[in-house]
Amino acid sequence: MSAKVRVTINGRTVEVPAGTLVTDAARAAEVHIPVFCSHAKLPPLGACRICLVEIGLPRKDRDGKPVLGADGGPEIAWNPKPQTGCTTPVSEGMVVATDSPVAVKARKGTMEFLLVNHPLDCPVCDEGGECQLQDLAFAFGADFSRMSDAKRTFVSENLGPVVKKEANRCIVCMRCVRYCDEIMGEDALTPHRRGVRTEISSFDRQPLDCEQCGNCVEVCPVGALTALPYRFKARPWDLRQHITICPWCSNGCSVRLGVRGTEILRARGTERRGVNQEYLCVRGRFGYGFVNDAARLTGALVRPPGAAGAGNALEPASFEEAVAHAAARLREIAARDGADAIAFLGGEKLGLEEQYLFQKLARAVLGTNHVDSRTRLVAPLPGTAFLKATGGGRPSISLDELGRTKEVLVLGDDLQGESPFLQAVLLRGQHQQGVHLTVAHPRRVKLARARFGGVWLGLAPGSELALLNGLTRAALDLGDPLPAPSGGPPPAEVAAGLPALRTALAAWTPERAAQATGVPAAAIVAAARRLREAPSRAIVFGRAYAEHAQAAALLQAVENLGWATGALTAGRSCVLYAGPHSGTQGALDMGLAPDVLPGYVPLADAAARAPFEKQWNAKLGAAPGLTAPEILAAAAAGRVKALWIVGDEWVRSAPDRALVEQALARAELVIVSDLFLTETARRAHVVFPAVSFAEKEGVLVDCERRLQRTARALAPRRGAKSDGEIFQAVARALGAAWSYRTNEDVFREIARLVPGYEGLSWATLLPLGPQWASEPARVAASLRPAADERPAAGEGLWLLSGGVLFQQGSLGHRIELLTRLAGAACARFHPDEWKRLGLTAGDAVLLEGPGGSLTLPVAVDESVPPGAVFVPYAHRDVELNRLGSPGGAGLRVKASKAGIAQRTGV
Amino acid sequence: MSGAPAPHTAPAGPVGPVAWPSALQPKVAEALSHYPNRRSAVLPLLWIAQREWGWLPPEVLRLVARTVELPDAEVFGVATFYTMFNLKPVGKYHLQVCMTLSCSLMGADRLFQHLSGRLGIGHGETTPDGRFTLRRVECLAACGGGPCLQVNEEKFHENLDEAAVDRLLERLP
Amino acid sequence: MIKELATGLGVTLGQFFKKPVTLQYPNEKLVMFPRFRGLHILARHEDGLERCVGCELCAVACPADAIFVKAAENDPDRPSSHGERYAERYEINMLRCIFCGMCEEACPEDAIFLEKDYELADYRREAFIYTKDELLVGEEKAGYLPVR
Repeated sequence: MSAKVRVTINGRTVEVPAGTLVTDAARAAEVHIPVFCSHAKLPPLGACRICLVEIGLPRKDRDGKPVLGADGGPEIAWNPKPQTGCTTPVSEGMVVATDSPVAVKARKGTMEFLLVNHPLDCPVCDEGGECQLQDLAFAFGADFSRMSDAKRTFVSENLGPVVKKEANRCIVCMRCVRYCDEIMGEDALTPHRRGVRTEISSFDRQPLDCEQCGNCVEVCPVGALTALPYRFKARPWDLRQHITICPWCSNGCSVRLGVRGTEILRARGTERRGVNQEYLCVRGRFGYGFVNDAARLTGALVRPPGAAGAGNALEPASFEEAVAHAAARLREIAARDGADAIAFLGGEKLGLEEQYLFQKLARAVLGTNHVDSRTRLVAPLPGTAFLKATGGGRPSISLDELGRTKEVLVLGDDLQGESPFLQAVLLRGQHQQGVHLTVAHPRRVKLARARFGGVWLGLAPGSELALLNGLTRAALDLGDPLPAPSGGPPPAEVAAGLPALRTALAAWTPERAAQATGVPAAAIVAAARRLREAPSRAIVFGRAYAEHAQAAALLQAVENLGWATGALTAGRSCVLYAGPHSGTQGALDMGLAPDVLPGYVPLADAAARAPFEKQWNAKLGAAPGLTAPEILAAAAAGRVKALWIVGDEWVRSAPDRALVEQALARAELVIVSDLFLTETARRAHVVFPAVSFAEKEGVLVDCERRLQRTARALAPRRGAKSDGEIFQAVARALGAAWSYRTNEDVFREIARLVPGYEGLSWATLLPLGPQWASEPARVAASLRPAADERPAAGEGLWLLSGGVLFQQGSLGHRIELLTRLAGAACARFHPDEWKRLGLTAGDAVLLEGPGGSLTLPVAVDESVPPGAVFVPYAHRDVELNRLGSPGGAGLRVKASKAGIAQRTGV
Repeated sequence: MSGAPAPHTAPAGPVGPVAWPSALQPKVAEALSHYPNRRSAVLPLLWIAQREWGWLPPEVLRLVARTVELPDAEVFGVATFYTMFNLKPVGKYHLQVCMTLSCSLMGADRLFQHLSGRLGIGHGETTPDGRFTLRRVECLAACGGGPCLQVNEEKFHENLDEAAVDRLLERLP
Repeated sequence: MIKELATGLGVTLGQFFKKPVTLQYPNEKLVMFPRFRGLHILARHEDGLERCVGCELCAVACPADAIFVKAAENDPDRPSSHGERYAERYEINMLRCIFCGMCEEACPEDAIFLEKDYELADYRREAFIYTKDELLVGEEKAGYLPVR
């Protein structure tokens, strides 16, 4: 794209793209220029002046020709003053000196200025030992101070539960303020006053009202901002650092765990590494406490056979006894009722290799196809549904490129709660790359705020399908699906389905869509036009659609929209599914779904099945098994008699609480492997103690389908086994000849066998693995009318639910800081609804759904639309599945005032 | 100089969200109309607010932030950057003594000491009866008539000495 | 020959009247030189607070990796040291210590000194891990700094 220029730095000549900054060119020339205020993700500022260098350009005569010096080379006109390297772009023939007397003196002078008021408290400063100011003062500064006056002092403050501010140490580089503004979109920090009295703090020195991500602490080059949870815990040299992948969502951020002894003391981002490059959200940065939780399981538990009943408690057993017991019972049930009486659930939090072994255990060893990782599904979905909606495995774009697309449509998810890094990518893109955001969500979520310049399509709850159909129709009105930039037409299936889709969508005029959704017709047409006509575009959806009662129709509608707008065809565009867990994509890839084998190989296809049968030395059933919601129903009805639930709090994640209780009570054998004795584990017959993400190595596949290695930071908790070991032990007890020594052995088998993963090895996944892609697509595309005419169950208010930033899953409840930040779970109402129900602050409300009821404290919230109630699902006290399973377009509940607030749930 | 800072009796800031009084709304609209985007009006609006409330309590800063669609923290930063915005309550008469070169040479220090002694307050403090706030300020651009003193936003008093200041204080209603 | 014998016995007899260089340990004990390096002490300020702030510079300076420090934040009402930080745990493994004095040199607070105590034998390995209780001087020695 841009032309290359030659620049000479300290005598080394390098060729870099025009417009590169001097500091970056110096990195290419392997010359070190110190920086404080400059940051790879932020635009240049030039605040700290430590990067002063001497810069010269070739002298030109009147005709613009370079003047030649005595030695025949071009004569250099040195700028009389040193310039900041971090703000000066290079140009052809530029000469830079970082070691000339002028540059050295300038740097030394700047360092002296920076240290004028900096306290000499490095021994008690948490940054000491990894402080850039300390390092550079050591490298460039004087060993004494000429300043004899008293230093100016500020009072230290706790800015909320995460950030400790010691303004005396601040060098006013503005990194924190800019990061908070441009990447987090929070603007929680600001400089107060000016000149030497400048101090970074919050509005009126209040505790920070923000995402509490701690990225300000991360980017602070000195010890002015430090993390309270890590305060005085250790010095940097105490810590062994292990870079692994964060377990909290599907974005796949690299996280650097600092371990002292057997304890994780902190988690940090990794500068210039991983998809996230230093960014971490509050969960990733402070959500590691469960690893060292004292309540972790340290041994297997078995419920003695025979005497079924309430008095029959789980008893500690050796791992071998538990394995033998589980295998014997599985064999017994398989012999008596057939393998179809056994079902395998969960696995979205496992590594790729363990997911592979889990379904291999089910299919090859036991012979059942009842395998599903998607325990939260409300309605059955084929295992290929998500891949199909996101392009069938065709090459996609990375999260980094997503931040440079021009138009992004976010469907249904509050990314702040579900995928915080994805939100940061989009906010940064909006701020720095001109990304335009369109957010279709019933609530005005953070991304839809006016200051981010996007458009909020505030659709009525339950009208998601109508909006998608309206958008697709409006996009198709602008023309047929676009060809790929390489000139190739869209797949034949797309062209084939087009006429039928057009006919079906003929009724979905913008006006009708507007009537159904409450979004103005003009806004729908404009959004479709922006998507179709932008040079690059992306559509993002997540669990809100996946766990919708109309998921099948919605995913088809997303795919229709993807083809109609070109998000699935055109270059630099994509449709992205941001799943809920770190292993969601991997579980789908590894065939943790009842109808597909690893690599989305359909079970029904005998030829495609053959390599698996050969490798696994087993005959595989061709008939698809049951999906998670079907397994739930079958177990509750007593048809499925044995369940193996791995890493999943099924009692909470299944869509219907009454049904799941019944299923667990009726099942003859429930095997649970988990870190803790969860509610589900309490109802099990065999409990295996599993290890956490920090205690095992393997591969995770993130939402952009990127494979990344995870590393082992700790030895496994005594008594706990990795899930892979557990599966292998049971498989061997059942007579299978498994002999994997490590997860790497398993990955070799995957790379040999699974389409899309060919040729990969652990060695190719460092430092950042590739995004797997498959051409031709793993799953054929289709354009098909998407409709679902079932009415919503119940009457009354629409129940809106969603993730919140500070809680996710049952592990989040184990982390004191996150629980405290999340606060009490409240049912949130629009002011109108609040008035109609006659609520006052401190009240509680009774929500009655088709399956049961919940009592919750209330809060007023203008972002919730009238006619709905918002309840976050991740809080410990909220067990939304007690309300029953949503039907049709969503769940409706009756709300009534229920006196004063009290805690509910278990 | 007096010991403990005098407790001020000036009105405390409003509690809870505030709104522009209806009489001010035309002024606010006019200030906003001067600029192509709302955020540019932050300084004029801070002035309007300070004239209305006498100082800038947090709730008023939030009001300004809402009006110009800027983050609260940013407006707070702007208000603290400029020394002429009062972030603490001030008395009825805000005495600002110029301390820059010309005035300083003509005895501004002596004048300040005199005022401080007479009122019993130091720099930035307010008398207990809420009448006077005393402050050292930078150049008031009356260098020809130093030492000089500004009362509130309007009145300049030049060529002052102790006696003139005493007379001035007595003249103030 | 007689002469040589007499000279030799003369030397022997002469030693009888000299001051002995050996000591009747443990009844008598050697007085060490001011800069002798024996068991460490952790000193106190005049006001009785610990000088150590738990910065771990001694631990990182220690070539034998004998020192373990775990810092914590002072309770403002009942501080252990000046400032915000203090050593919650301070342990020296005297089996590893090589008495080089680097910890003393590294200490920015003049908190740790190698003192004169050289009687470090014991029967159990655990006893060689000196904890903060054993290293910290008593309140009565507040303000005491060894002569160097």
